[in-house]
Amino acid sequence: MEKSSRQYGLFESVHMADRAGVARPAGGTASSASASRAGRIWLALYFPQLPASEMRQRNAQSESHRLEKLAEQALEFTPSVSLEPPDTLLLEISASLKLFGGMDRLTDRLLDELQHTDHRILVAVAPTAMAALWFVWAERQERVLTCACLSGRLATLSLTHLRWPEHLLQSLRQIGVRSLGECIRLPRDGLARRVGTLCLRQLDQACGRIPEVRTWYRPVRYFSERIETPQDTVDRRLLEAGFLQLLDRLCKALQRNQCGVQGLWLLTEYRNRAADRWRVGLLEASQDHIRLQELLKIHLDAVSVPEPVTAISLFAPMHELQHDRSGELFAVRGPEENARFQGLLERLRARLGYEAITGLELLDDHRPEYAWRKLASPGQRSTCAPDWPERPLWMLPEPRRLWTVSGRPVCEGYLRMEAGPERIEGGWWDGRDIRRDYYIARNPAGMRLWLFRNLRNSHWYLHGLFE
Amino acid sequence: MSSRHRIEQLLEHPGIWRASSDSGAGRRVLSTGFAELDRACAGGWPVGELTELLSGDRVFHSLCSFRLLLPVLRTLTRDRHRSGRIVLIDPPCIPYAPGFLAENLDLSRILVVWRTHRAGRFWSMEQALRSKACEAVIAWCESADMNRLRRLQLAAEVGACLAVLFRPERYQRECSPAALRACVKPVRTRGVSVELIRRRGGSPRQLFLDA
Repeated sequence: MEKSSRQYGLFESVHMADRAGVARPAGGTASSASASRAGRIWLALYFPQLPASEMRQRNAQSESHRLEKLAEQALEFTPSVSLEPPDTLLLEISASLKLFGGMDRLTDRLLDELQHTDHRILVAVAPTAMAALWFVWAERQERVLTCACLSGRLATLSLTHLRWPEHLLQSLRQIGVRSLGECIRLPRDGLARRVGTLCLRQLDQACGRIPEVRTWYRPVRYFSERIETPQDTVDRRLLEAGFLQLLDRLCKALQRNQCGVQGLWLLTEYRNRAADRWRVGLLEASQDHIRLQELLKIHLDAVSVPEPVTAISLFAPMHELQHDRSGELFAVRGPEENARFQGLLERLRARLGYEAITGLELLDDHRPEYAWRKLASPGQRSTCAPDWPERPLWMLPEPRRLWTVSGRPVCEGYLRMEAGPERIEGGWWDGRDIRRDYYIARNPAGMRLWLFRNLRNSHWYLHGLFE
Repeated sequence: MSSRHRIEQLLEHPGIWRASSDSGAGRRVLSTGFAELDRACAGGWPVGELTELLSGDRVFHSLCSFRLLLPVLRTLTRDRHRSGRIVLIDPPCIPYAPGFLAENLDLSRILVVWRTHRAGRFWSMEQALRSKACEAVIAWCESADMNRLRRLQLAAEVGACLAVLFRPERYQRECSPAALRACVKPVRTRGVSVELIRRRGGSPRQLFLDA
């Protein structure tokens, strides 16, 4: 069923990409200054042995993996957990205190829960996240709940525990500054010069003078299920039925977790060759059963199975649904119509391929071929038409060579020139240098054409049509 | 009840279309932007019905007829109260962004479905029509059997939008469920000739427009 990310080896890279989507709790961005004003309380959990315990196969990834495991356990106590790699967790616990019956009870329960991980654990509490971190790194298990007594406690901290770069500490030591209190008493501009803005900001954050932005840890959950086919089959209807069954289960899981999916991976396994996989993409996370079903069906229509299938599986990372949608794509009318349009876009792309459906965009380039491009996400505001002479409505994918009769170009008969020449040249800077004279001409059928004479070889080419 | 009266009664059935009746009651139209064409087509381009524009057999010829649609597309894309979304399906040439902008069409409302196979073309047109998310769906395609065209006609009714199909003129004699069929050709000096093969509210006739 839903597995925690790491247990699923096959999609490691997918997982790493998706992990970046860090969600925020209902309050929006976490800022500890506003938090301290609102009476927020930060609890830092420091696992000093965590890096060392991984000595044998030590790498940054496995460390953060261990930390994530711990963070997942900590999520039982508060939804607001933030990672401070490689060895510290930050929990915002103001909302949990009452539930767990006070600070001491909460800490006890937390330590009980984490104890079996046989790490040594240090706990410090402070009204700002940075201060809690510094206390715990200094191995001082402080319990400071208000800003009023915070600076006094901070002042006694030794600078060596702040994880500031060694050369900064050295330059401070040279002027006799060893504790945080002495550091705070230094003239501000001099301190800024000495330690740099980054450390100064940390100092301000620790004292609660400026807010600190932290991202919350949100485990990405995965849906992954596999069905073995009763007998090896190439029957598309059977496969479709199988995938629809998997989709059913996925949708139930999504509902349970109040999540949506933004992409599905379909896998078909064979006896004698590597599994095939396909991705069905959505423009935004959704848990709409009917919509997913429709997309899946369209996709399966286009899939061809090379040999009998032995098993199928469905895999999808589950995302939190975003309710505060800002409709930037084609947002003209209500959200309902936008949803319909996005649905259309998804269906078309599922069947015809992603690149087959695009918008159009004007580019700032005087060379006709490069004055436009396809736009993957249609609906971005377009600019005004540039101040160019008349341009055709249609352009040929490649200029088409025109034959000449006694030096005059012909296209379904003799051409009558109506405008021109317009000299367009340049482009040596990117290797696509052109030198052309453009004309507007009308052929005997009455069509207006955009043609040019290539000044390098004096050949005539048809490049566009005005109607 | 006299037989004449009964025939009259039968003919009032909404499913029966009579060439002599002028604008069909309750039918939506969009002004074509050409007064003469509006008069001839009972008010303008039919909405929620298939329009078929036929032109010369060469690929480029179908593009001449596109010019007829420019005024209505301009109104659609620039109207703040409409979604103004326009889908172009498999145009024979690249819709050239500077040219479209120069015609005052809003590029951000235009979606292009690029080169696709025949089945994909019909399928995408039907999808776009049925989605109810577009104001106009314009497709270029060669042959089409009656069943396919009928499906498109039904889809256009569902989506209640402008549905235009460009086809070569050699299909003029094949039957089609389109509500409006016209043969469009450029005129030697200026403008286009529009031969209305089927139209609501009248018999076939020919017009010359300065498009």
